[in-house]
Amino acid sequence: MHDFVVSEPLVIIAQDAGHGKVLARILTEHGYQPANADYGDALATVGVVRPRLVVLGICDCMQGHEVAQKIHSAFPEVRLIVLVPEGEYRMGLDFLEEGASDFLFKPVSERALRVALDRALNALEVKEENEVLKAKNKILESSQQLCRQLFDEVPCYISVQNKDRRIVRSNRQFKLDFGACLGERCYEVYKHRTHPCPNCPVEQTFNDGLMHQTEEVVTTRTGQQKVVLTLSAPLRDENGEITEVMELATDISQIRELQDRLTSLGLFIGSISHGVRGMLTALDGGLYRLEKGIANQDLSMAADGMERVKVMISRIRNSVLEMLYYSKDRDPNIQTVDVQSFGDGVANFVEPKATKHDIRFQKEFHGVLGQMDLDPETISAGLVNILENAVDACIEDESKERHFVAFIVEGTHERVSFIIRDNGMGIDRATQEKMFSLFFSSKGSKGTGLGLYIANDVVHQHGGTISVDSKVGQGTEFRVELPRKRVRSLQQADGMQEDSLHSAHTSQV
Amino acid sequence: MAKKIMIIDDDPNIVTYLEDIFHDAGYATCKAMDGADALAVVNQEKPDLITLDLEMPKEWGPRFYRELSQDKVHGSIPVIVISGLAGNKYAIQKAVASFTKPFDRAELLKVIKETIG
Repeated sequence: MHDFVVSEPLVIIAQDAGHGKVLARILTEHGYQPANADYGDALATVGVVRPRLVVLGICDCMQGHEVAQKIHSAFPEVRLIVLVPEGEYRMGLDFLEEGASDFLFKPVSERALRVALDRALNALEVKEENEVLKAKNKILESSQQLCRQLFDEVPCYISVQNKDRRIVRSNRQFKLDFGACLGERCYEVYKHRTHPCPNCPVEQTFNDGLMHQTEEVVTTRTGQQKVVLTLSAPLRDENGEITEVMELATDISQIRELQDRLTSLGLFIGSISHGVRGMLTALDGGLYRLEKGIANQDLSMAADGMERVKVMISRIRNSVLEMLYYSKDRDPNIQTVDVQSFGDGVANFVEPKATKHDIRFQKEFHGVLGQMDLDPETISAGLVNILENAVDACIEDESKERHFVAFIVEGTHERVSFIIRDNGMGIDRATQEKMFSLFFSSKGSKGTGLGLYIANDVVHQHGGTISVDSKVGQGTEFRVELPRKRVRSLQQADGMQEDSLHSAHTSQV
Repeated sequence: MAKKIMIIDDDPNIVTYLEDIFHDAGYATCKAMDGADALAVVNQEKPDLITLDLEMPKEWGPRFYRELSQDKVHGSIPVIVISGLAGNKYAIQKAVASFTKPFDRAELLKVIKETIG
C-alpha cells in the first residue's frame, strides 16, 4: 500500500465547493496534487490535468451519472472513485456497473478515501505492467515465429546435434530431403555410415567451441547425391557449456558439377593439345607438298601431299569429336544393332584380359535378343569399362581360390539388361555412393576417375539406368538397363533426364 | 657446300615436312627419330644446326641437349626447339629459338638463315 504518493495528479469533482476543498487538503497531505472542479467544468478540468484518478462526489444522482459517463467516454483509462450518499448501496453498485472502479459512502473518512485511492493506483499499475508484458510477449512471439521461419525456410539443411551426434532438431529443408530423423545419428542419415566420419566438424566444434567447415557428399532418402558445404557452430547453455552443435549444410552440387565439367574439359584439352599441335604441323606439311606438287606440275608429289592432308584431317576430326563428347555437344550416334553380336563384341574385348589373369569369363544370353537402338561406340566403351573393373576387382581380391566374371545379356520386348557380375573384392557403401562422380577413383594412380562417370553419362543419354549391388569380400553386380527403342523425349526434356539420373544412383545393398 | 640441318622428331610426317622445307631452301638434312639415337647421328653427320622436338618416346629433348652440350666437338652446334609443348622456351634456355607447333615456316627459315647463313 502507498503510505505517501509522490505528486500524483488527481481531480476532485464536487457540487459543494467547500466539501471539495476539504478533500483536496486531506489528499495534498498524502502527496496527491488535487485539482477541484464542479459538474460544469469537470470534463474540461480532467482534460487539462489528465489525471489517472478522479474522485466524484454525488449530490444529484442524475447529474452525477451524466458526468461519470462523459468522463468514461472521453477518458476511458481514468479510474473513477464515486462518493455516494450514506446507505445508497444500490446507487454505488450502479456506478460500478457503469465503469467506476470503487465507491465510498459519504461522509467519507480520510482512511477510507486513502485506501480506495491506493487500491485504484495499484490496480492501475498492475494493468500498466500487464500491458507492458503483453507488448513484450507479442514481440517475443513474433521474433520466435521469425526465428522458426528462418530456421525452416533458409535454403540449407540445418540440424542440431547432441554429443552423441544424434539429431535433436532439424529444419524443414532437412526433413524434406532426409526425413524426420530425430534421434538418429548424423552420419547414418547423411552418409549411411556406421561410424562417425573422419574430421567431423561437429565433433571438432564440441572440442574447441569454434566454427568448422568441410565439404561432404551426402545421400538423400531418395538416393540422390548432393555435394554440401557444412558449417558447424556451438550452441551453449546458460552456463556457457556447449550442449549442442548446429550443423548447416549448403547444397553446392550444381557448382561442383560445373567445376567438374570445366576441370574435365581443361584436363582433356591439356592432354590432347600436344597431339593436336603435332597433327596441325603435319597437316601443314601435307599442304606444303600439295602446293609444291601443283606449282611444279608434279602430280605424284601433289597426290602424296593430298594423302597426307586426308590422313591428318581424319585424325584431327576424331580428336575434335572426342572433345565435343566431353563438352556435351555431341549427339549420340544411334544405330540399330544386333544384341547378340553387340554383346559378343563387348565380351571379346575383355575376355583376353580375364583369361590372362586366370579368371573364368562367362558369357550368357537370355530372353528376347533381336535388335536394339544404341550408340554402339559409347555404350560398348561403358560396358567394357565396367567389365574391366570387374576383372580388376578379381585381380585385387586375394581371399578366394577361383574367380569369375560373368557378362549376362537379358532381353525383354521393351528393355535389354547387361549384367556384369564378379566374385571379386566388392565395393563398400561409401565408395558405391561416390563412384559415378567425376575423377573419383578407388584405384589410385591406376585410375583416372573418368570411366564410370562416362559410363553413367552415356547410359543416361540413352534413357537407361545403372544400378549396383555389392558386398565387400563377396562380389559385385552391375546392372545396365537400356530401353530397346530410344525414347527421344526422355533425353530431350531436362527434368526427365534429371529424374533418370536420380534413379541411377539408387543402389541396393 | 650446302649447310646441313639435323632434324630430331619422332613424328615421321613432321620430319618429312621439315625435310621438304629445308631442301627447298637449299639446305642438306639428316634426321634422328629419337633423342637416344641422335648423338650417334650427330657424330656421323656433323650437322651445322639441329631442330629438336621435346617430347619423344625413348629419350626426351632436354636430356639429349644436355649430352650434346657436354660434347667437346659438337657441343656448340646451334639448336632450335620445335615442339608441341606450350612454354617450351623454358625447357632449353640456350636454344637459338623456340617454335611451338604448328610453326610459321617463313619465321623458321629466317632464324636459320640468320644463324648459319
